[in-house]
Amino acid sequence: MIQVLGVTKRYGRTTAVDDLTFEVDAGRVTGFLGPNGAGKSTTMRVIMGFDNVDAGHALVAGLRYRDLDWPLRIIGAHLDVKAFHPGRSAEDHLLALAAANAIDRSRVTTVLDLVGLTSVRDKRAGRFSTGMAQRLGIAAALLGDPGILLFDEPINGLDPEGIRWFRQLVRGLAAEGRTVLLSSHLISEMAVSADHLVVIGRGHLVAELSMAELMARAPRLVRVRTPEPERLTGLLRQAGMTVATQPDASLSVAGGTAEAIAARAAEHGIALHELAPEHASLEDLFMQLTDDEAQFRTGKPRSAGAPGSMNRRRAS
Amino acid sequence: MMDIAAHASRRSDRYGLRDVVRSEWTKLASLRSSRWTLVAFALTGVTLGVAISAVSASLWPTASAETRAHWDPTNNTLAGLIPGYLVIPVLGVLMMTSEYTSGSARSTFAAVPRRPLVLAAKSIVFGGAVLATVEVITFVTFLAGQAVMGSAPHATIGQPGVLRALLLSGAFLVLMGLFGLGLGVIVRRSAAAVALYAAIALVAPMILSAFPGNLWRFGPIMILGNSVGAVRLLPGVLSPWVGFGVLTLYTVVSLAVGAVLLTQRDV
Repeated sequence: MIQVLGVTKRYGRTTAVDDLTFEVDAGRVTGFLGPNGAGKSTTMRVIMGFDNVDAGHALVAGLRYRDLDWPLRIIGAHLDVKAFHPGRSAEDHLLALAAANAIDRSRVTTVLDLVGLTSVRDKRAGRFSTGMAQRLGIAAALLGDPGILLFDEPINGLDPEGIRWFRQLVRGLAAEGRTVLLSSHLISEMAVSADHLVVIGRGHLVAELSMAELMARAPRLVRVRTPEPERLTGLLRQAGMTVATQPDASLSVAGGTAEAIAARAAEHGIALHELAPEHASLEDLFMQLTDDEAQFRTGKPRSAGAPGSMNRRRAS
Repeated sequence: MMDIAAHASRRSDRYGLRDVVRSEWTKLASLRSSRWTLVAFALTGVTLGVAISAVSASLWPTASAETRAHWDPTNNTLAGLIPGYLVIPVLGVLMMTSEYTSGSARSTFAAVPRRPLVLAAKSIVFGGAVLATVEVITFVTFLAGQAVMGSAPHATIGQPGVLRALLLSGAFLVLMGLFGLGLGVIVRRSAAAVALYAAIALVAPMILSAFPGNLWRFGPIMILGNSVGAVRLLPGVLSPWVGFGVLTLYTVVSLAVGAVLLTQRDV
């Protein structure tokens, strides 16, 4: 388990992480989600003991990182794409790390095989592509067979096959009962990889919820196409629904079911060319969560509103 | 997928200096660049020492009485170590700065969060490797250099002060290397750390020599040439052991400041 307890980290006058508290439990993949610059990487560096904190602390398996007896056997992290000397081979890099924590040399062979770098193990790692460098970083994280794993934007630079492989890997690690924290700014990636989400924005906790809860929060929208959009919009608004006109001239309606919309249209003799229930995009949902960050902080979570309201809020 | 039972040879205690030394040794031994630098330095050093010995000896028949009075054949052959005054500290700097420039520092400190242990292990591994290399160079240069002295008076290891000069000169370069290692921790960027070394080791002594008095004798290169590596001491210089002590002090300060900064700064 990882615990982040009231952590504040400043760089000069910039506060990167502000009084952040959350826990990462074992047995599931926790997605660490936030826009670029939200403080995800800083938080991970604090967990790893790389960065000193201005307040609070982070615990790994109940201990501060520096107090771990054999750190690599407790927690493995892949934070930076290149965390190796370019003149050293992948194998030597891993052998040096293994020696530091008295990890058996056979693990080096095992993890090289696991990430698919066996054929290039004696090549200088400086010549690796981004995808291969990511694989070497993942191998280093797995080296001590740790129960806790941290990955910071691990799929950048992986090819489609690599992305699929990585998703299966983290799923497997969580299924074995390990704690997995995986950061990303892509909510679509989280939707396929994560069971649980910790969402941060501007260094604050925005939301902590399961992926299923997030999906449930999505406003139910109905997509409508009609030759008389203005008239229908007026009628639906009278009925208390929220209507937004999309770039393709279709309407996105919130606050009413397809049945209600169809009944209203039939009543006034308006033809419908399309009537389809849909979810707001995950990205919209995410924008909404992070935009609402201030409200969440004051303890008043706002229910997900209609898509149109988001645009107004951002314009103000 | 992964076998938790197939674990490493778990010891019940905690990672320690022994593990970190092993790790640092693996790192040093797996970098071709550092090995080739030491080999190149060895070849240059021996060649230079023998050449300087031969040239000085060829001047002996026509040398003045004063030159003959200060004749120090040990010191002549030890001139082969002078390139080491640049090469070894730069290697020391790179031992640390390459970790920061490549990003491997994060891997290193993830495995060893008690960061001063890394500095201690690097000092042991690098110091040991340099000591072994430099002492071999020193003795080979000495024996080869004395062999080409011709008619000029030779030195032998048995003469008073000679063995001390040979051993301390090698150890001097180890200390300079560790001094550079400390600078690498303090500055973290290769170019800046090397520039700082050049300023302290090469420029500062020149400035000191512009002042009246004996301040110049505290410059590291003066200590190598005139104190540690000399058998017949010129007037005004530090005695060999005092010189060695002064240099040890420089190194200890550099490493201690580095160790403190290493704990306090973010990686």
